[in-house]
Amino acid sequence: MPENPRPTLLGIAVDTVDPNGAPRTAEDLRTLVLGAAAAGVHLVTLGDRSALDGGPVRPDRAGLEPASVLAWLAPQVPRLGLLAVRSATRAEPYHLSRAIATVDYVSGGRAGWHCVAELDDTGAVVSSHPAPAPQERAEHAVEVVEVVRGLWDTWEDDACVREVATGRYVDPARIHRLDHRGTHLAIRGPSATPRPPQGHPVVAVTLDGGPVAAALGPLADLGFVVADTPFEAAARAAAFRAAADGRPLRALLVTDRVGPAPADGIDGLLLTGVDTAEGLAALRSESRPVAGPTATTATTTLRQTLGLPRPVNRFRAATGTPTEAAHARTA
Amino acid sequence: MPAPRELILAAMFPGDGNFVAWRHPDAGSQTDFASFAHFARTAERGLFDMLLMGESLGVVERDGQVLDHTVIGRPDLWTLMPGLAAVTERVGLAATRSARFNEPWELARQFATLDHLSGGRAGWNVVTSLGQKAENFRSGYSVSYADRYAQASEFIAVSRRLWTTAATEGTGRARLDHDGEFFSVHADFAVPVGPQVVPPIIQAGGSTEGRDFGAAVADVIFTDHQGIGSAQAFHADVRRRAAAVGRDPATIRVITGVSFVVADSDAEAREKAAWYEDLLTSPRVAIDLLEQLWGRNLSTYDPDGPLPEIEPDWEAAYRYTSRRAVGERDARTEVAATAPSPRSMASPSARSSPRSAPGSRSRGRRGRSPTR
Repeated sequence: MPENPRPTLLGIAVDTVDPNGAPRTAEDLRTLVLGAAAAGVHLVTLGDRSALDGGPVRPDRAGLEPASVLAWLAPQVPRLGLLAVRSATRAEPYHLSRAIATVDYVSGGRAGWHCVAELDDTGAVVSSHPAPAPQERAEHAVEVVEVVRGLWDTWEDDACVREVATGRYVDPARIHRLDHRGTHLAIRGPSATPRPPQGHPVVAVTLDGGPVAAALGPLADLGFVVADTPFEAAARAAAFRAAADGRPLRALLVTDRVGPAPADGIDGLLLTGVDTAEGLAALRSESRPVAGPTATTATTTLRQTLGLPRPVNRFRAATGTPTEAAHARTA
Repeated sequence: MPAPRELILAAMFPGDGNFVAWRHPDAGSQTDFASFAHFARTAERGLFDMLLMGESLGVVERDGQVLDHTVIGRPDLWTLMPGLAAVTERVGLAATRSARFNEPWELARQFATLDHLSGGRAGWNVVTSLGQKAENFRSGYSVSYADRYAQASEFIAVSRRLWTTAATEGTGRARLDHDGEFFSVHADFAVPVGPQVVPPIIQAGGSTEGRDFGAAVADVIFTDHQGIGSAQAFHADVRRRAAAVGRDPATIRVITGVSFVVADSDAEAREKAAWYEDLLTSPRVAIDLLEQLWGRNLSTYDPDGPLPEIEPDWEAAYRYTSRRAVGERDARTEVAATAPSPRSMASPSARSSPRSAPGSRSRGRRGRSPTR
């Protein structure tokens, strides 16, 4: 943990539908996201806000596809962290892993995945694959997160050697099969996309005390704490940290008002329900917690904004190859 | 006098496993967004109608070994497209997506999103991805060789229904209940549709089934021929097949793959082509090409030496060449992206011929959509 107090972190949930449930256009979303960035927000989580609001996550929810919108916004908005809400329940992990990694490439290391799961069966059918039984979905989501993160590691950071003299573009010894064999998934790998700029884009989950939160919390970098009281918020943040077993993470309290961090263990706020022109106007007029956007530069990754380290590659850790030696080889 | 015809120009970003001159001193990163943005802006500045991006469902391997001599590993070119839409204004954005390892509802949503974000510039190069990389995906995508085009046809039909229903219902909200041979969809679809409503469908595939499929569903058919005779025969064949299923053959555009080298003189162009070919054909690439024909591991042979004295493994070599003969897209793109050969070199005189004169392409008349 850094010794100096960091600026309080501020995030905003922007939904791909408006308060009446109608899908928002690209221009609507750009206006809101650029407005949020101008108001000093550090990160946006774009997509289905239902999980933050305690509602069901629907497979056939309305709206533009969040990762695509974020890839489109990334060249248009500097600095802002860009998290896409995507459900693990219907995910094809190979596609999902590469989509989030690619937002990371386009944004220069500012991407994240806000992982949600569908606990209720709404009856909607959008996939030729049957969804797991409702009681298995939290456990299934864990497996999806493990596979997505695992695929990000299948390329070591320096696998792409580009040796002009020998004609070797990659070093196959630094590209690994995942060979995941789980209860629900069998995914071979390696990824078709090299390890993204952040190593692992930030993985966020909603911490509402429910089964998905309990299952995914130990795998997340960032928790969005939903709580009715400061006591409950502190308890959920504490449980999140305890499950992480010392792994660095951040917890943001889900709220509709800007104010001082109201509970122990809370690093900042995730604003929900203010993704409207009026909400952003109010946000701009309110006093901001602290330094805000001046604390980051154009080259800052989302992990740096959050004060989170770049994860060590599990395959590099496993083979124990000294990083210095690897760099010497490529030099 | 007939109206002058315009060539459709598509710029293909070579995909994984294609020959890429990554050893060129100016090649730069093959993964940074800046490289792709440079490619897209350059194509747009050159008045190209569209970019054509491949799809990777895994890394290129031979006998379980990752190939090390060619560009493998890229960002997901599909997710890159919206980023490219943000840094360009007119060029079409045609993305390859498999009808096998995707779901119609999700893919229709993604294409509607790209079309909407790009102001109507999305195109879909539909492929069937037979035999590729199933082990990277959930189980249950199995489809027989015979059924692959039937499945793709249903995939496209479901996508079209989602797009067009959402467009005709003023709210942009559609409900689809579909139980087909390959797909079931019972869901709402509420995405702001793009200006095109249905993106142009692009297809390649030289087999009889592939030609019938293209003639039935495609707006643009992408092919590759060594000579004008076979290209014209293909074109006539596609038109015949389109008419047979009740389509106006004139609405189908046929485009062919070509590599070219631009220089001030023939001699300079040939010199440049030779240099470029040398860049592409590193010793490792030379051995790899030979291994594909020989069906054997030849890594201990001298790439500049005589041909191997051992007999080819005809069975192994056949698997590769037969796939290519069937005209499946993956084999064809490999051909299309190979080194420029004299057949495709364009000298200044060739470039200024009436059919391909760059001056005839005015910026204003080239629309935003890949096809019109």
